[in-house]
Amino acid sequence: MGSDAIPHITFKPMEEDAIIEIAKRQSGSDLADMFDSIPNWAPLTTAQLKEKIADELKKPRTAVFAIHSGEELVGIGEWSASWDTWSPYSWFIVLPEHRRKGFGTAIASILLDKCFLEHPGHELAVGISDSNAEAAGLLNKLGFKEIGRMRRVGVEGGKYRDILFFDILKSEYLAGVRP
Amino acid sequence: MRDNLQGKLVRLRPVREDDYEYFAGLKNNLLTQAWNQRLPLNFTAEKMKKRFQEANDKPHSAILAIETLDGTLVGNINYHEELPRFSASFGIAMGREHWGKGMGEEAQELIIEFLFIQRGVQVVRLWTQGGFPWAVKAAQKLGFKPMIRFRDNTIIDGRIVDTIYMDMLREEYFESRKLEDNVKGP
Repeated sequence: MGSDAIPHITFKPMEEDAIIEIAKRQSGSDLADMFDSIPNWAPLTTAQLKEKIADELKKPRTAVFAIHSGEELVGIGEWSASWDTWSPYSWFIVLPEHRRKGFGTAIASILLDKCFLEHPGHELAVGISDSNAEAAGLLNKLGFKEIGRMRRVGVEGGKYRDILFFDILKSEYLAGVRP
Repeated sequence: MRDNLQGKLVRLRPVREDDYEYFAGLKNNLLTQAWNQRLPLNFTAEKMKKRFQEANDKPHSAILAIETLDGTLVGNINYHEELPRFSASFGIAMGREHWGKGMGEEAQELIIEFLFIQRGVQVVRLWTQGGFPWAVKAAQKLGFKPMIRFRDNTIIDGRIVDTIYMDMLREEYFESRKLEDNVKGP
């Protein structure tokens, strides 16, 4: 698949097989961070992960989903307007072996459409680790603007870790930055 | 060594039963109720008591009453350590009639001092929004830096405004107060 092609993907409920897959892969990875597993080098059991996902789904207007290409699991994600429908939040992770194949663009495209065309979203913000150059590149490509830095959210490799924030307005999205 | 959270104008103390009526009034005032949301103006003393008790039951968190040295209740201040002894956020609500007298500034200074000096955190955070420029200015005066502007993120008084995140690092606190830091971070 060429890097410019947008692959077909589907969002599915987070069933047992996807949770088991995540449980296997979480140690030391960004998957652990997403489920607030602290410390992230000590993996959660499948049952604990299920509980975390169930807790997340108790929030109103919230979806946690598995992302598939055909039958294959390529990532996981969340979309939520529990805090405010004006400024919802979302995250997703593409599993390492499926990166650089266009899945990130495809997933982001669907989530942006959901936020701005199927919900009353006005601004969508995203936070990424300051060491994640790949994610920053994708966000820039999608038209997000870097809006600042939350300093010292933790420690990684003996150094403080920051989170970089990006956002995009509905007007910017509709003005032609759609992938 | 400090033995309480008392300054020249105010002291921070545990909340008492008779404080809740005043706190409900702060929540029912659009100028003092919250940082970027517009909450329904239906707060009662009973509802405040429930919220405050829940907040005070969380570990590494507190909501304290702010009172003048003669015992007049003027507001409340809260903090929460997201990562205990590493990072904390705080917020303040003061009666409009007490603004501009230095009491809010001193109450915040007392909490920041507690977090950096007694708790040893590496960063203190706060959230505000563009509809309250005075709040941003007050935080800057304390040494907080605006680090993130979530553009057009909320609605205040009929206007779309930014949500603003500000923080202060441990070394920034000690440098700005000309204090020696004997606790080095990671």
